Amino acid sequence: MTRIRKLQRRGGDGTWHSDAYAVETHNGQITLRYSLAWEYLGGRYNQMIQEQRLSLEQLEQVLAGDSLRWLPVETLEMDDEDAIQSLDRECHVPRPATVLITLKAHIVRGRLQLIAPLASPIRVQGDHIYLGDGRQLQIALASDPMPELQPG
Amino acid sequence: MSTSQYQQLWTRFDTVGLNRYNITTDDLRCIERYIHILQSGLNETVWDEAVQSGGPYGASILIHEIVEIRTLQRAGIDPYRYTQKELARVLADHLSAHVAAIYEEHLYLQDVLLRQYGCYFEVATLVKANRADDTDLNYLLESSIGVFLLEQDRAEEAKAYLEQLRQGGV
Repeated sequence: MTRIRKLQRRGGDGTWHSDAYAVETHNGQITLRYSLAWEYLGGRYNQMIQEQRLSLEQLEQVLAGDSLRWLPVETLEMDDEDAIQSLDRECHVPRPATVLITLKAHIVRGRLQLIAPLASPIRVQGDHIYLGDGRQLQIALASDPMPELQPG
Repeated sequence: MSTSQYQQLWTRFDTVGLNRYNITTDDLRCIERYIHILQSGLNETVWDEAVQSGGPYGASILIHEIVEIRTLQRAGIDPYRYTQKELARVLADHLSAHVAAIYEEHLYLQDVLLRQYGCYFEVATLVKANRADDTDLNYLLESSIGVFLLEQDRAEEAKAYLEQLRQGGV
């Protein structure tokens, strides 16, 4: 079960709609999820809610106004992820498609060679790596320190 | 606001940034209208913050908005004909417009910090430092724009420079 609370805004045409909501995840943390209409202001309210450790019932303390209204807290019969997925769709909160580019790395004669798959948006040419539009990428490599070897 | 007031407002921002992105006084009017659709009803808006900040920091906000608007327009979308609710849906369906805006906004800030303070930060580090949560950072890192490096241990330093820029704006 997941507790949530929808935030509604009154648009210029006078109608109310939800484009943000707060969700209480299993660890008790409240997170505000918001549509892109909020721009970076959504993140600011999210930070305030978390820093002040507000409960779902206390959200009016950071977000209130004549054109804003919090609906009553709802308890949804679904787990966090399903609830978030469903509410993201309803409130137009985008869920980015993850883009994972795996490079193959080889050390050949003491030099690191990276090889990108043909379908990826990056191109490797000689010692340089480019995006499809020609911008050059700089890649820094980092690794965890080697674990200390145990004697014996 | 009259044309002359927009012209006066234009001069309060970093003109290098505005010229680089061809932001005219007409664009200022468009940005204000766009933000009004998106954020009417909120107690504060990013337009208000851009105007209050002025200088390079205010310009970075304008760059974000104009890149988003132009990317939507290139996709055949007229953002001004939608209601707030519809525009939120359109933006969710065209996340790449927002991601392009985040990228250009912080590419510009990267250049400003280098010019003004001689400090270089990766774009992802600046996004981390410039946002109160990681939502925009995640959109950027998970986008197909490119591969980004995040200097986690320099985010606080970058935040201090950005705050300096924001305060010293006009």
